[in-house]
Amino acid sequence: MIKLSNVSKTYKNGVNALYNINLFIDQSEFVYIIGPTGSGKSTLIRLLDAEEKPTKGNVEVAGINVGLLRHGKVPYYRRHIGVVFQDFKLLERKTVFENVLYALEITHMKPLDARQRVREVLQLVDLSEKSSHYPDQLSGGQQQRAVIARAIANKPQILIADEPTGNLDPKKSGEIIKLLEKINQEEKTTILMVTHDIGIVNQFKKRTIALEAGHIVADMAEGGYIQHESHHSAV
Amino acid sequence: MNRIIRPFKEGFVGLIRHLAMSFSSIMAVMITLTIVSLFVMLTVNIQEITQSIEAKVQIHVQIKNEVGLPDIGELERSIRAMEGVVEVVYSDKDKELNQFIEAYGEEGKIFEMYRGEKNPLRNAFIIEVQDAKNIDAISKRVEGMDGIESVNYGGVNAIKLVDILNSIRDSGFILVGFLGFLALFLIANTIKMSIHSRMHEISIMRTIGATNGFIRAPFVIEGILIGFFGAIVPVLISIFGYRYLYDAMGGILLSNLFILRPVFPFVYYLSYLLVLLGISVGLFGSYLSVTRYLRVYR
Ligand SMILES: Nc1ncnc2c1ncn2[C@@H]1O[C@H](COP(=O)(O)OP(=O)(O)OP(=O)(O)O)[C@@H](O)[C@H]1O
Ligand SMILES: [Mg+2]
Repeated sequence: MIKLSNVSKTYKNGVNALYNINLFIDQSEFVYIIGPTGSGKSTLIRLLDAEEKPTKGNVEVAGINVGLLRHGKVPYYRRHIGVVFQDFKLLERKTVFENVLYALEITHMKPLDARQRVREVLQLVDLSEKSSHYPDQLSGGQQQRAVIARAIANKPQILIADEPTGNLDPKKSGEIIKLLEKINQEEKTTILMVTHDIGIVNQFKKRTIALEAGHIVADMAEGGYIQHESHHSAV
Repeated sequence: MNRIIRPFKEGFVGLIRHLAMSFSSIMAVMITLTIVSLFVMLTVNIQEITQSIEAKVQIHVQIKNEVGLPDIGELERSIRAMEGVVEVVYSDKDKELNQFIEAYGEEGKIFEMYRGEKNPLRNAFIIEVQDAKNIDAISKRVEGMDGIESVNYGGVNAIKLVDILNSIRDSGFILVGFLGFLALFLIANTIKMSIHSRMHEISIMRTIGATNGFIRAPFVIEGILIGFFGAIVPVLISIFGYRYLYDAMGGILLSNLFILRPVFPFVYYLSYLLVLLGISVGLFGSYLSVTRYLRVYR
């Protein structure tokens, strides 16, 4: 589903954010990306959602070479991946229902089908009662669930989340992870989640990839240690 | 929401949100188009006047009394052969006096006493030339011929007037160009503000896979609305202002020589032109802005 081969990313200012990354994530996997600040986690996410192009190597998602996507094709590609960020990004002037509907409107889905799908996903994230509320009437956790609902409305094959629990307390964070697990199981969505929260990683065990200074330093199956790619070997 | 209605609604909202900026852009378009309108009125009427003058530009040639009829025929043939001469009409002194008397109307009656032997006028040619520009050269050549007493031509002042109007028009052209750029710049700036205030929304649209066209449409519509609203006042000024001026002047400028372009359908064409220009400036200005500020992000 996700395949990175010898991927390096150097930003225009000369920062080497990622160095010779090789990574394979299968369909329906749930994977954490961990690592200290500045280790390149968000850069990895930005390569996957086509915000950035790799300087070297191939980024392949669902059979598409993301780095080679033409500018005009990027929006259509993004409809196949759902993205969730730490700062809840909802349109303040729209209700929860409208916010989710918006993601379907841009694809020009038939209005009746779209509304049906919105009800479905709001049910899934347990926000049906809040569907006519505005974002500022919701708690942080509820807002993040609305964002997740919007991200999965298009039935993406992959959901990538950059610190989705970064602004939430442990209880709310746990609810979000359980929601992601549910999406992973019910919709068979591949999930890639960046997190700082070691508590979560320990509580909800998943395959975990550790980054450090742009290198993958560990790739652990649910709790167990699989491989260690020393960054010295790549130099 | 409907695919067509959405960008219009959002474009309108953008316009309202930055009312002050939108207003100054609309004013710029308004001033530019008003001047464009004046400029078009001037140009069209210069054309009209030039045509009506050219129809009236003729050379009046007085033939010396001693020249006999056969020699007059000879003169007529050689003038007719000159380049740029369209027509030569012979008018003998009796005819000339008739015209003179006619031209003075009631008061002309006192010249009746000069009929016959005492007629002080000369036999004459009336030469029609193709292009008013050549009138001077042709006059000089005719004047140099044997048997010619004097040469006169009318319409020189008219031609000078046309020259003056032409130079007014040319400087107007520069002004229009300058103001056009100003309007374009102001619109681009308004749209830039609108884009900045919606960066948050745009970034959301991007992450959920909105196409550039979808993101761009409301801003382009906003620009078009600015152009359109900017055109309304100039259109009204054109229709009512021109009609008022035309009626006030009786369809002429100063004298019968200068006939103005009739109000209809001219003002309608002018209105279409102004609306089209307003919309084009709005479209172009917003497109510039949108392309520049949205291209940065992938
Ligand atoms: N747009 C950019 N331009 C230049 N350098 C960047 C850019 N984005 C990130 N960097 C740099 O690349 C490196 C990796 O950044 P990245 O955001 O991927 O780290 P991160 O692991 O997500 O960190 P954090 O945990 O703080 O979010 C850092 O040194 C950062 O300063
Ligand atoms: Mg980050």
